[in-house]
Amino acid sequence: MSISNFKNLKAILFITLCVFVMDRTAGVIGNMIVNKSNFRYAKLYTGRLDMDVAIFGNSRGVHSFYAPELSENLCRNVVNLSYNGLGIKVLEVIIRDVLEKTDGLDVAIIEVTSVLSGNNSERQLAPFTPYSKNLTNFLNAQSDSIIPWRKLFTSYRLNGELFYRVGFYIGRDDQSWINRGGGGYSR
Amino acid sequence: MLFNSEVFLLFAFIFFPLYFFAPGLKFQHSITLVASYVFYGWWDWRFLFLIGFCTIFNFYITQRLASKRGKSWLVFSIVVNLGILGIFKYYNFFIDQLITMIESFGVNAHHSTLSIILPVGISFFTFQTMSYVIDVWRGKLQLQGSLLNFAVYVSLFPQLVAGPIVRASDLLPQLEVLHRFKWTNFWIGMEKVILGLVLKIVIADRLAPFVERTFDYPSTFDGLGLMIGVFFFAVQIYGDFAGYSLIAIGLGKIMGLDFPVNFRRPYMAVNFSDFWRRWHISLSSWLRDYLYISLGGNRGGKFKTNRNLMLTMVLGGLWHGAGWPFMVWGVLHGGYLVLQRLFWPFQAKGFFSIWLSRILVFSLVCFAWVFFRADSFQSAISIIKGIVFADSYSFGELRNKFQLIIAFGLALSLLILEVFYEDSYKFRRFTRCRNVRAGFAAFLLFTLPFLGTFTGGSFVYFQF
Repeated sequence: MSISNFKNLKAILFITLCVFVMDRTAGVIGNMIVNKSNFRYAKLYTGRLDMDVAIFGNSRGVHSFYAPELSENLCRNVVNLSYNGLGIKVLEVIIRDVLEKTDGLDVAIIEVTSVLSGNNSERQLAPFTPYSKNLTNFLNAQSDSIIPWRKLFTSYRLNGELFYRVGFYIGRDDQSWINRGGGGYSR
Repeated sequence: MLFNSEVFLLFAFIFFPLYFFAPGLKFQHSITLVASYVFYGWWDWRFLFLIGFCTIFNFYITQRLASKRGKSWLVFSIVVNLGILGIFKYYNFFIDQLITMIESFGVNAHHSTLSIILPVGISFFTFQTMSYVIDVWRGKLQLQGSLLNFAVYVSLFPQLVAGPIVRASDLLPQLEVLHRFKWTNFWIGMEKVILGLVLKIVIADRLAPFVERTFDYPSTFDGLGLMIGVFFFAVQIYGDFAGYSLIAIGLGKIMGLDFPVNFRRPYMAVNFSDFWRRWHISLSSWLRDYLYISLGGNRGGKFKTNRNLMLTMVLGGLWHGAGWPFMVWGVLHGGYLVLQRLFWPFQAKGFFSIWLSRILVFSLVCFAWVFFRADSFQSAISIIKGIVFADSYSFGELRNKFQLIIAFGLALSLLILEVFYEDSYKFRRFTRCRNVRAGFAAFLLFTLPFLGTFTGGSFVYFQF
């Protein structure tokens, strides 16, 4: 091999290594953010969630149940685990994780339209794959051309709105969120 | 086939080794031609007949033109080229306008339009072949003796579907030599390809959903939402088109071919002629050399110069597509150029003057983009009304704030980097350092999975 080829291949290797280091560093920082966040799934997957009643659903579930008021009225610990666009298949995985990662539930409320809807948001849950085998297996089983890239790049799983929310809820409580745009919620 | 697709990655892995290990020039051209036809036929194999016809027709007509030097052959060639463009691009539009005109006189005109598919990149390769024919006729270019070389020039896959429009005088001489792999070409090319991919996947595609919602449902947005939508479109179309051009130039460079620069920080322009020296340079220079100058250019007094400018810009607008909004966009840019010549013929000097000019030019360019992007003239007017006569400009009314903030941050980062590059000599010198470039390339590669949008979005300029 000529000196020029050797030098250039070394440069390619160096750049690849830099990308790899940046990617893995982003992955570590991402995990730190998940560990610090009070976002509902971050707390669930890092084992910081304690609840008696859980609400599951899509955006209708998010907007229809105001967990702090329900907690007060029922004198039970209520957590709303709904998220925009969640379909029944991924919901099943989340429920299984809830049963594995918490002491169990007294009541599970499932908002019915999520049972009928598809899976729009499953990719969004990728930041929590290091914490759940169920979720990892579920996402890997999707017919998604992105999967090999996600396996190659750790930072790919942090690429989504849900991860931005995870970051936003560091030091904030996501259960007291209320839709100011109007519309009633369950008491 | 899209540059931002996995199938293109596979295509590149097969093409480049074959290209570089080709035993001779003919073999290298044959490989390039087959690859270019595969690349183009990937959209619709029927388009290959069209590009094949354009190639053979223009090749043989130029042979005639060179031997007989008759103007009628030139006119015939231009009529056929523009005729093809007219049928595929403007037929339905003109039929619709004709029917509307007839019906406005109270006559009931039954009609049916043909469902013609617009072949991808037709405007680009038609302009390329026309430039060859005109240059040969003007005596600026020697006749190309090899049909294979000419076919490669017309169909060369990196710049086939969305430019840059490469002149025959620039590219054909480069096709006379056998190209071997060179590390310097590889690095320069890869740098451009990576930057182009980031502009497309990280910036343009990230902004696309907001732009789509704003222009599809303007009535659901308040003043601030519409303003952000228009600003995002200005950055989206720049990222998308400049991204494509950079990938094309980069791939060409790896192959050992030099394509002209197509964008040079257009939003840093201090006046409108400056803007057109920075935006889609290959088209604006084509229009200048083959249309504006043919119309008489600036010879013949103020009135004729302004008329020629206006005509060039209106036809430039129509080049983008058949529709009134494109024409209005052309009229606006023509108007800007004419008004600038009449009332503002000085160069901005000094910090405040430069920035004031930049902001004014950018705002007026954004105003014209509204017509360019809107589905109809009415829709463009409703967006402008929504911005000017808005009841509220409240940030609280904006939806998807998380995505919005990320998108805004990315758009702003691009513009800030361009300001530094444009204004700071030290920054430009800093970016020339090899290690800095390598680090920056690595960072850009890292942003692809971290911030990229992988929805397989097509390039905006493919529709033109």
